[in-house]
Amino acid sequence: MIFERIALEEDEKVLSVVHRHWFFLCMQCAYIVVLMIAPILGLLLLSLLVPEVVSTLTREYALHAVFLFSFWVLINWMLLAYVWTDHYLDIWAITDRRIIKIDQVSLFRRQIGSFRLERLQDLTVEINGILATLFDYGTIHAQTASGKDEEFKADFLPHPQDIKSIILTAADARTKTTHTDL
Amino acid sequence: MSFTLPFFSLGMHLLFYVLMLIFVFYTLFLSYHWFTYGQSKKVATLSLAVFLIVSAPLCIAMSLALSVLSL
Repeated sequence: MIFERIALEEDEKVLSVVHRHWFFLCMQCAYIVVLMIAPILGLLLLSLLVPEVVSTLTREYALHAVFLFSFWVLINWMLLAYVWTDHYLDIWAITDRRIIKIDQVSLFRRQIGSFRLERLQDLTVEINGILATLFDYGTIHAQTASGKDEEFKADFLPHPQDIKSIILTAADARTKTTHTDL
Repeated sequence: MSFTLPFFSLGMHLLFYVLMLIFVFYTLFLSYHWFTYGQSKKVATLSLAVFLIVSAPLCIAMSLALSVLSL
């Protein structure tokens, strides 16, 4: 599975694996579910406006409607599976030596980046808005010594303060270890 | 009020077979991703099971509707 492919270093321990917050997944799914049931809602609305036409159409073309609705639902179901895949495969893995960011950009495009904890210069947590405060999600921005900070920004992370504390503790321990080795 | 739309039945058959082809390849791609890049085999298996369990009745409903319409 994924950690066999990343090839962790010898004795490297995974401290935490973080996915985006479930609320973000629910928001994406909600759009698709609304699309999925839109034909039923449309039909209900039409049956209120022109009940005779709708009843005749549903009687005459029931099988066509079953086919087209199943077709529509299956396409949306496949979209939902894609949303789940994107959520499940996008991870931030915090180890005792580095932070590994895996981004499933599309079905055939993945970006894997990592930076060592001893290169960590600054870690910023942003929690913007009522929903973010209520559900405790936010953005973590990690600045490295190289200055390529845009590579290590993650949105919608759950419990960002806890993640920050895990990273800072690991970074401190790592700095102590590297100084002792020197 | 019943009338037959030209090529409607043919179009539905074509839609069905194209969608089934896409569905098969899409399922293969998704399951490859889940099992290769996922963290746990259990979650990957569960995802695949749920995906197929929900998809199956939809495919069956489409094929049944088509076969009844073809009679």
